[in-house]
Amino acid sequence: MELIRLSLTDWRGVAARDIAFGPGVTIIEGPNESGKSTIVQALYTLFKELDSSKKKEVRAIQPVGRDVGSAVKAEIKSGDYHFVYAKTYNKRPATELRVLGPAKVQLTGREAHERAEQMLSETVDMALWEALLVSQGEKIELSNLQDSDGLAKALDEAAGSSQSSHEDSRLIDAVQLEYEQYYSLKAGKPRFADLEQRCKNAKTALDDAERQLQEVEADVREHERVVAEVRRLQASLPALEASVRKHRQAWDAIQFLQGELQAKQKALEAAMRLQRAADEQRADRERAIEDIAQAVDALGRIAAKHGPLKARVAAIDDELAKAKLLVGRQREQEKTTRAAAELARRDAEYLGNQAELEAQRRRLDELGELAKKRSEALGTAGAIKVTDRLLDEIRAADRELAIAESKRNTAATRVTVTAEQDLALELNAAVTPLEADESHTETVAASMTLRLPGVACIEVAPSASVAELKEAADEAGARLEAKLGQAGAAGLSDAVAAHQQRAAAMAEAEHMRQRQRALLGERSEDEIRRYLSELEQAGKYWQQERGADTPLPASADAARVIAKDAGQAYQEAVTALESARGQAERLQDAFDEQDSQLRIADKDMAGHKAALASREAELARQRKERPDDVLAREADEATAASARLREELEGLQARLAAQSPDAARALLENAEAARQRALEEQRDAETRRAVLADRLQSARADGRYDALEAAGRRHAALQAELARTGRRARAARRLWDTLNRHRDAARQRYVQPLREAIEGLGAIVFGESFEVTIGEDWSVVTCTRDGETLPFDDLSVGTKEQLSILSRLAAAQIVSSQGGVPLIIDDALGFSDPERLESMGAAIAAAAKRCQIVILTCTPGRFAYIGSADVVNL
Amino acid sequence: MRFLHTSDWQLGMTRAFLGEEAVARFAQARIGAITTLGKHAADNGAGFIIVAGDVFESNQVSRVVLARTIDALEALPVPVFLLPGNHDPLDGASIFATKEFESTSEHVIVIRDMTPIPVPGLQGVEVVGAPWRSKRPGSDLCRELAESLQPAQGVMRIAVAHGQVTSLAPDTSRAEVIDEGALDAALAAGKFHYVGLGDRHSVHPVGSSGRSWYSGAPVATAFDETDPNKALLVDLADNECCVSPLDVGNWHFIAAQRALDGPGDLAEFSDWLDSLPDKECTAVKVGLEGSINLATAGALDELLAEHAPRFASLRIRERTTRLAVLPDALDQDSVALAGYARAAWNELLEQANDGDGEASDALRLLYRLSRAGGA
Repeated sequence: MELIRLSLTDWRGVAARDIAFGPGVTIIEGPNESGKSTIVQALYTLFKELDSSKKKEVRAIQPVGRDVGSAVKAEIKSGDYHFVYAKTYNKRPATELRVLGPAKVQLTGREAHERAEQMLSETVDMALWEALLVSQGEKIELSNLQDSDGLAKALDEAAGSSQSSHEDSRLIDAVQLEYEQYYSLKAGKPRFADLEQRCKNAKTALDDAERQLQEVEADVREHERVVAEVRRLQASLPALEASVRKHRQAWDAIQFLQGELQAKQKALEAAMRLQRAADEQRADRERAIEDIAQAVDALGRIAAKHGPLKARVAAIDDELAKAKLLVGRQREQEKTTRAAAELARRDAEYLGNQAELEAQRRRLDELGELAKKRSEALGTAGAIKVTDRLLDEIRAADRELAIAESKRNTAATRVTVTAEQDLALELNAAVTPLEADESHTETVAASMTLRLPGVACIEVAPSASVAELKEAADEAGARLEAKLGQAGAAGLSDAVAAHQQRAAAMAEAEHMRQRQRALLGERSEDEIRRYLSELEQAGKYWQQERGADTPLPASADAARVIAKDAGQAYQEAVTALESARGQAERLQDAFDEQDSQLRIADKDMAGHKAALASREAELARQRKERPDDVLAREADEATAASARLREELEGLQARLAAQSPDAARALLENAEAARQRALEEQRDAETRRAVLADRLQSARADGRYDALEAAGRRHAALQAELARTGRRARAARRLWDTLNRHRDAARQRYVQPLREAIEGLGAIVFGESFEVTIGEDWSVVTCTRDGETLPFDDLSVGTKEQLSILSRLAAAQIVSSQGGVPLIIDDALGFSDPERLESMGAAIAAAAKRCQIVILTCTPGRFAYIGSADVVNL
Repeated sequence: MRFLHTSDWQLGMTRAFLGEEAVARFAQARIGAITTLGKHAADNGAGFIIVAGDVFESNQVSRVVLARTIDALEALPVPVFLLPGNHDPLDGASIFATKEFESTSEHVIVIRDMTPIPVPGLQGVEVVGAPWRSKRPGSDLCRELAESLQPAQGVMRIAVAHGQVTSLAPDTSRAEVIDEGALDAALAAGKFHYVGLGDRHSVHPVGSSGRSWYSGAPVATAFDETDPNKALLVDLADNECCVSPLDVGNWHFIAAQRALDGPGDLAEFSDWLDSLPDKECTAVKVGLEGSINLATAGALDELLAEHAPRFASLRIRERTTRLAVLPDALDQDSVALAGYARAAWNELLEQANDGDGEASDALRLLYRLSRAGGA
């Protein structure tokens, strides 16, 4: 199809427009809202809508606010047809068709519309036409190309195949419809699952109904069995009862026999008790006799021991008497020797004492002497008055005098008279001869008269102080004189001499006392005297005591010898006495022991004798009561009686054993158990029968059979339907699959020319290395540029758009020779850069050599690169 | 003395191949047969009716069947003797033990044991039967019946029994099989004067006496019955026994086998179907053998679809059907296929020729769809 001219009048915002299209590229330029898109829309409307259409879209064509008709007129060449087709909408609608070739025809109204439609559909694929339109904002992919018959047809032709594509399409639609009756188109999921489920449910219901009927049948069988069982049990009872009776009789007989046996057993037990008693009595009697015999024996044995014991006691007694005599003799001996020894000892003592007596007397004499001497010394000392104390006082007084005199002399006028010839100086009437040259000095303490016979008398008076000092000296001299007078001494030296004499006498006395004390030792003299008198007294007594029968030993020493010997004899006598005494004591002990044994034996024998006597008496009493032979007879009789009973018992036991009571009992018990079991089983079976009968009663004519039949019919019907459906479904699927397989294979063959066309045009835009792969649905799957392959979805928006346009160009190219359509590109390539725009322009120009291309754009620059194009400015 | 001999009513019986509507009519027809028998009895002067076993299809039929049966029995103009058979034995679940049967009128008599029962209102006639007490009796009930009886003196004695007889039993070792010899002997000994047998669904004489018969079912029940839909009118005298079949039911079970090798055979088959009477009471199962093209196969489908609603049941018997459906040149010409559709056709055709049934079905579908599209 080729658009030659398009005119619009009062069409939307377009008042009047007339566009002539070139055979190649026609670029219609105009700003937005200038009605570019209206051109495309007007073509659609013309082709599709009746002039009488009241569709909203159609009504919207009328210019706003103007009640006018909107007219469109197109001159078109399509196939062999060449016609002018015009329609007016809304107001004064009209359709006019003027066919210019091949045969001229002029039509109006509906007829015109139909004729135009016929011509177009014969030569143009409107679907393809729509598909090839690229509108702004619409999806820029090739997907809607697939369903284009025109494309398919063209591609088929290009691939060198087939003829009637329309037929194919209708067939595949029908097959798809059939297929979709049974399967979902995309997943291939069966749609008759519901039927399958219903069939399954029907089977379950059928099984259920079958089971329910079988339950009744099972109950019926069980009922028959139980009825037969009851009958059998009932029939078996009489025999079981008879068996019980039979065994009961046998058992009763045995029990009677067992009663007898028990009675006999009791009688035997009584007889045996009697027998035991008789035996015991007889045994007691025998034992008593035996006991007495044994007692007699024992007594004999005791007596046999008693005799020797008695003899032994007498012998010991004899010896004991002899031993006692010896003790007496030894005691005498001891007494005698002891007296002799005493005498000898005291004699020796007496003689010793006499010597002592002499010695003591001498000591006393010596002591007397010493005492006299001491007494004389003490007399001497006593006569001298100068005691130690008095001497000391004299010495002191002498010193005091010396001191007083010295003091006086120092203070007094000293008068020295030196004689120039011998002269007798008289002083205070005392003459003092002085030889020539001799001098005498006097201290004038008191008035002094110095006279020198002959010659002169000189009086000298002292001073007053000197007089006092002279008085003190005089007093001291007086005190000295007093002391000296007390001492009987003339002067100090005399006193000292006297004192010496006294000390000598005192020492003598002391010496005597010392000797006295040494001689006395510990004792006092009186003690010695008392001792002496005691000794004397003792000696006197001993002399009187001992008499003069035996002479005293000659000396003390002799006496001591004698005493020693006598002591020895005495010691020997003592030892002998001790020995005799020991012997006598031992014998006494032996005697005591044997004697006590003898006494016990005596008592024992007496006891035995008494016991024996009592037993003998008891035996005698019993024998008198029941003699031995009677006892023996009674025991024998009892033994015989029990033996007889035992024999009878054994007889009974043998009879009982012959009846085999255990077996009889077991038979009876078993028979009873069997009867009991049969009764119980019968009862159980009857219960069961009743239960079953009850259940079966409700099963009578309860419709289970009908239910089963109905379930069977339903299941069979569903199964048949399922089989039919399944068969149809499989057939549909088989056909669908097979058809699609062949269709896809065919399409695969179309892909090749499309790919080649896209690559041919693409080489202009993307270079020689440009390659694409095309899917079976004819969409671009991948794109390879400069060796790099990318999936379509990963391409940039610009490249996608370019590819999309190239695809359309390629498709249009392929279909152009056979009823192709103008390719209308509505404001595309908004995403392309100037370089691409240039190469795209070249590609479009190349494509336009084989089909008409109309480009609507508001940006003319985009398409400036298309070398040859008619440009229409709006 | 006249009476009707019938058996195997099998009341409550249904058939899986019948649709729900046909099943209901089939069930009603069986009840209706009782009424027909009553009419026959009245028309022919029969004094009573004996039913030799299998009155009911099962002891567990529904109350609906029971109630309608009772009503039909109550409406009979003559006494009717019902014998429990192997389908409805006198076991624990017996339908004859329901209270409905305990309160029937005097003329409805269930034979519950082997005691002779005088026929009400008739002098010198008694009926004696051998009822089944379980589905497996374990003995020849008929022989037991004969042994329990003394020769009839001064009465006509009609025996009623149910089961297979030795000459017809596939397995004569089974204990319950009826000994024909013993039957004849009992007849000869005068213990019975007539033996009415049931179990076989077709009229059939038994033994050599001419006095023992299977009456057959009053309404057909299966495809393998030779002469159903009958009852016997028995005219019995001391030394004469005349048995004549009467029509009762009009249900037919037809099993057919037909050759189908072209449109001609199909037309004949169609004519044959058209010719069958009582279609609404007729169940047909047909086995088809032969080879037909897709056009004929389509015509066959249409034929069956057209006829099926007219019959109680019309089925292709899969078991005996060997029908090859293969496209021929005619088929090819009648479809205009090109391109991949043609390729698909060829592939399926090849597979169908190799015996691939599914491919054959797919081909038929393609044939149908492409023609529909072209039409």
